[in-house]
Amino acid sequence: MSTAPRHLPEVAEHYGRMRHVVDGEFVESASPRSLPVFNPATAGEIATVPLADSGEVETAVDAAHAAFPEWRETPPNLRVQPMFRLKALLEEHYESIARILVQEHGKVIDEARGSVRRAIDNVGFACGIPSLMMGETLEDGGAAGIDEEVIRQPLGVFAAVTPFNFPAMVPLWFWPSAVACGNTFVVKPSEQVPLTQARIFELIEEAGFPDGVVNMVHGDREAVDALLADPRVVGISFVGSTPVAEHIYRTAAAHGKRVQCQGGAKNFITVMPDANLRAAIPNLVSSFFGNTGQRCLAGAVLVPVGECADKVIEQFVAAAASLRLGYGLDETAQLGPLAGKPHFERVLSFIEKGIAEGAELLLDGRSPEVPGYPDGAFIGPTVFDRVTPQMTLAREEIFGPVVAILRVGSLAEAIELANGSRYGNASSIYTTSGKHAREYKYHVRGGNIGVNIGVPAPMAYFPFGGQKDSFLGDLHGQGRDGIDFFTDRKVVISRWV
Amino acid sequence: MTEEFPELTSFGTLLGFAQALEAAAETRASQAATRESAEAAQAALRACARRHAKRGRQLERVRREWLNEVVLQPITGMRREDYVPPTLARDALPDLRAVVRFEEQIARFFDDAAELAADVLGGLERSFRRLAAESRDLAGELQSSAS
Repeated sequence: MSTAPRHLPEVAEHYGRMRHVVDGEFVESASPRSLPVFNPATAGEIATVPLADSGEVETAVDAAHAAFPEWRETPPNLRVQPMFRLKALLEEHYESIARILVQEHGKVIDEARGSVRRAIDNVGFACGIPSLMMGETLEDGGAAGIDEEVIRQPLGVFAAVTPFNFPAMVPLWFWPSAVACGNTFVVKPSEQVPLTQARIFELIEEAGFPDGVVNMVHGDREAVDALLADPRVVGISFVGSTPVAEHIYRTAAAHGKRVQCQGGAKNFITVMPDANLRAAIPNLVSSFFGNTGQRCLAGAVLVPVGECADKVIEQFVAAAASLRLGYGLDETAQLGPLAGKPHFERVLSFIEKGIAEGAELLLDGRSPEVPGYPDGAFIGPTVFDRVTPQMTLAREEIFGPVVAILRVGSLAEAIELANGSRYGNASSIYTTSGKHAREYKYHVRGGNIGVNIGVPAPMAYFPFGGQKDSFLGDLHGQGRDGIDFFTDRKVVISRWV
Repeated sequence: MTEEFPELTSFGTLLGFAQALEAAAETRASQAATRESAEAAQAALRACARRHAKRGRQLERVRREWLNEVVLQPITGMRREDYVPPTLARDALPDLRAVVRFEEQIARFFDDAAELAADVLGGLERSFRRLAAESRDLAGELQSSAS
């Protein structure tokens, strides 16, 4: 049997049974329902996560609701003090958080570190709330002697339901801004990857947020439905698949809540004949295979335009084939396992479907050899050529290291193809022509557009876009959109006589 | 670090490798200072060691703060074997000339790393070029101190 390469030390072998965080306390769940948490590289069990019942969710909302009045009256410059402390703690524990993340999710350590950085950036953004939350005033805005102003006010209890692919980052897209604005919060992390958020919540408690301001419940659909139905929860942020996004959007809206739901994606990446392939190929590889394809911004469909197709495909496949699979804590690994066996099986089924529908399999990632990890959920880079727009590979979100290549003759065709997808999360073009780049960003219906960037991930101070079936709602997460989502704008018209 | 000098498969490993080089350079310059008798050479070697300690801390900040999706792509073209520090004989201390040679090797590492970064992130490229130039300057200063 082959031996595993050396890897960075794990923070712990087993993390025990996860606890909820309610009203400033880590509390054992009384729920009889629970799930094991697995390391997807080793298939070993590394924790147990309880699945809260509606009563436990209600208790968390009770705490958040009770904490709201005092927190809302805490001045913004004081509300950000624990946020500054949290930022410092996250910096201090950056490496251990990243390693926990690798253990539960499988991504390689640099990807984990990068996502922890993104999480910290969002805390840093929220530290600026005293400026970001300012309103607007116009003297004599109503009439001579009548002033008009807009003030921003928090609304109450918000909640976030977050996905398995970014356990550190996605919850922090939401709660730091919400809480800094004066709201209180309940986080429901993915039950598949609860460990990273559990560690971050230890730091949240150490940072000194008042009891009940930030709470966490572990759970599944029952917990989500309890959050959706609770009238004290005024808004929901969600990231996940489109079918679940639709359920959450409809249900939350029916209960009169604000909702922002990021759904699935199928991202088209266009390569023009004038592209600088030396720079483009490694970036394309990172887009399609980074995070093992489990990014909502990952490339999914490669669209080489015109005569460059053969050259692009040859170089892309060669680069993809050379990627090194391994446990994410091996620093030299470039591609980790998928985030769990059920998802692994799902991705395999898409590959089988691609073959059955007649696409040409150029690179087969099924059954890769990963020394030392025979039970891991590994699928290597997989590339299909001669895919047609009607094939499943071109239409459905796979969320794995599987690429569909659709060759087209012109930029107009590439744009039409991207716009034909039901999804509109991200799309990129590789070109050295400003004209082509402008055409693309002008016409493509996608929330995040990359020009010579394969993963157009907005920084904390920009909204994370999304269009068509990739986003339900109007205000996006992050940036000023986040501030708008988590505050109500009240207009005050004053006359003093 | 999994290995002190990992294979160069990503910008993360490149930065880890760079930090390991800085640590080795700091150690070797400090050791050489204890071996030199000339005061000027001793002072230059100690200054060189301090500089590498500071550069190591700077690189740690770069590794933590600049590592985002843009620089997560795989890298090719730099072989670990071309840059690992020359092995010292057991219990041997490096002399000033060995430190100078190592400094030139570090400069070459950062020159090559800058070339890789040029297509990816301008800030990273600038940092690497600055470190390469500084290593060449350090090599020059060490040589001058010996004459």
